Amino acid sequence: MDELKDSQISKELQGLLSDKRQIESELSALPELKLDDAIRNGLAQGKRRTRQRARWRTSMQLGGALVCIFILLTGFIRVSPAFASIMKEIPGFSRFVELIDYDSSLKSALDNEFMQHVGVSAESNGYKATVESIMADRQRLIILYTVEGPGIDQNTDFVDYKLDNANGDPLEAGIRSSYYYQDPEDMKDGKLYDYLDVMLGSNQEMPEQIMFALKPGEEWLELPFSIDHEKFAHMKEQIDLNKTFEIAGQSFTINDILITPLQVTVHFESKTNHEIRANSFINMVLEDEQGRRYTSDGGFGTLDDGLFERNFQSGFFAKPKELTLRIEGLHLSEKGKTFVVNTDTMETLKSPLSNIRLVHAEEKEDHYEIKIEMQGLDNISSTVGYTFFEHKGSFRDAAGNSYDILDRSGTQMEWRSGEENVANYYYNIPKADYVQPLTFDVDQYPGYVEESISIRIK
Amino acid sequence: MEKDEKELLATAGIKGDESALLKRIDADKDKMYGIAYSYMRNQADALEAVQETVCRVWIKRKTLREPKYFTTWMMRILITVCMDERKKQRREYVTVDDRMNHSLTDDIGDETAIKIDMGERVKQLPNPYRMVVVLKYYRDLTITDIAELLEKPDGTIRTWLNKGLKLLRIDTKEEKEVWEEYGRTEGQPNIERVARTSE
Repeated sequence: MDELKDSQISKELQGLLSDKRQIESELSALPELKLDDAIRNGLAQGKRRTRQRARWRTSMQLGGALVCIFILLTGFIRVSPAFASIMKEIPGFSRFVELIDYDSSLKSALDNEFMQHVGVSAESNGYKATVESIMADRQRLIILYTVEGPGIDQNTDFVDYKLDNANGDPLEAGIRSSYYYQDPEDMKDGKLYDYLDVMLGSNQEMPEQIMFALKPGEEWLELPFSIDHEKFAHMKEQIDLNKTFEIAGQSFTINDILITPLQVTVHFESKTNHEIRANSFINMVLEDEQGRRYTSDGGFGTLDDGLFERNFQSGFFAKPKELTLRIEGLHLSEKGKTFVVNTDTMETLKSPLSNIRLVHAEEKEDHYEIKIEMQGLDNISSTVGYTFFEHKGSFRDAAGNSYDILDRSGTQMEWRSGEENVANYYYNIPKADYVQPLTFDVDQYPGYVEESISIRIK
Repeated sequence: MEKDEKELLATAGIKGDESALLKRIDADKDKMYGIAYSYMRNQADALEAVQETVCRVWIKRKTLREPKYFTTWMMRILITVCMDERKKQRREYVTVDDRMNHSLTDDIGDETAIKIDMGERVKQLPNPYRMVVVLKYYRDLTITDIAELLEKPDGTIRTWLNKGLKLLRIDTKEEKEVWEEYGRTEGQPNIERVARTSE
């Protein structure tokens, strides 16, 4: 143990003392109001961050023209008191429990011992990946994994993965991953805990065998595992409903509902409207006879598509006697709007709303990235993500040449935590000698009608 | 505020009662700002650190098992936030060469010179030395308090303090040697240096 030798460091201590007096005098004028603001803003930011979970990364492995829409923010979900208390005692497992804490289906499944232990590991070049456990039913698969190795830390953004069936074909599914804000404290054991949330596409069967691989470094680590179908073979409830309702002047029919342990899927049908585009329902939930609410965070298809479906948290294990679908309004936008910008001068020449504008265009290796900012969104408008430009859409320059927006498996957007209701949307466009300005067709933009609807479905 | 009341507020706050949580945080806000300001040395960064801390307090509130340790728990989060922030700033602004040149001031006559120099010197200390120096010499925490906050043995804190003070050494000839020694022995900052030079 080193002894502090005061004689040697007296100059330093003298300097520190003097500087401390300076700091103390600066501190005597406490910015009381600003400090209170910072505390309040911090709380609001925390609530937002809990809901939005830093950043979502959604990817799709879908055949055909299926579109997968996930609502980016979900409401708060009640915590069951007995939740997974045993699981929390298993070392390391508490991190997974925290990760899935927002999802009442998964918590309930954990409580009901629906977890399947896997324990498959692969190692290479100092990297190690392990599939610890899975949860699966006929619609949804959760893969809980850890990754460790050089450079894997709380800033690790995205670990690339492959998810194929036994034949090596990619699963047709909506897959969510890497959405967690990681705190350095959470990385004490050097492991990154994360999970993939896989929602199978309509009419897809859950495979028996999954060829899963992760790429934490330069190499793929193969982590194949099988799914025990016995665990969920009889866990299914189907309700045929065929009920039509109207909201904000738009007509929708609920065809049927499928309830399994990890998910409730409601199948809808809509009538096309040529002027108005229905974007998403506001605060759509299922509520049971005890007032328990099951939220939705998206599903396959868009409201404008004809047939589409929405997934809800499942109350399968709670066995609700009644279920009511509640909706508080509809996000909608006018069809036929354009967004006209000059990416050289950064001017926004035409926009469906004045608070939507081009703020940045950057030359990347093989494309340009443009950043569009939506400002001043109110609380309802900021709770959803908009496909501002159509997925895999195109745009035109002033000479009439048409170009494709480069595919990025969907709209990439971000919320900047700490700033009130600003969302940024990113699109990639090819490198070309454009004749400015560029005209983009707008798909969805903020706008809504509030109207309460409730439909008994069980 | 009474101890019991603090605990009650913390308990309610953890369960999601926002106004209770705000009241509980309010009881520690001076302390929190004091540490943040002494570390960051400017109002804007200190307020940002407080805001980020409260944000994490909300997100992680369910991980606090004993409401009576709320203050320690929150201060730990604050310390992590501050040190994180420092790392970010360094990546953005400081290069090794800058630091060497900047630290090698020749003229250290009167107290003012030492003071100005000292503020800058403390700012440029790598962590965890900077944090322990701030907690000990600017916020008057005891070694035991610091050890509890950083979840390290007392001996480790003493070693860090000693090293921190050595790195603050004002004798210019000796300083260069100390920094060079630091560069040879510390793993993490070396990695940062490599990263910086490639930027």
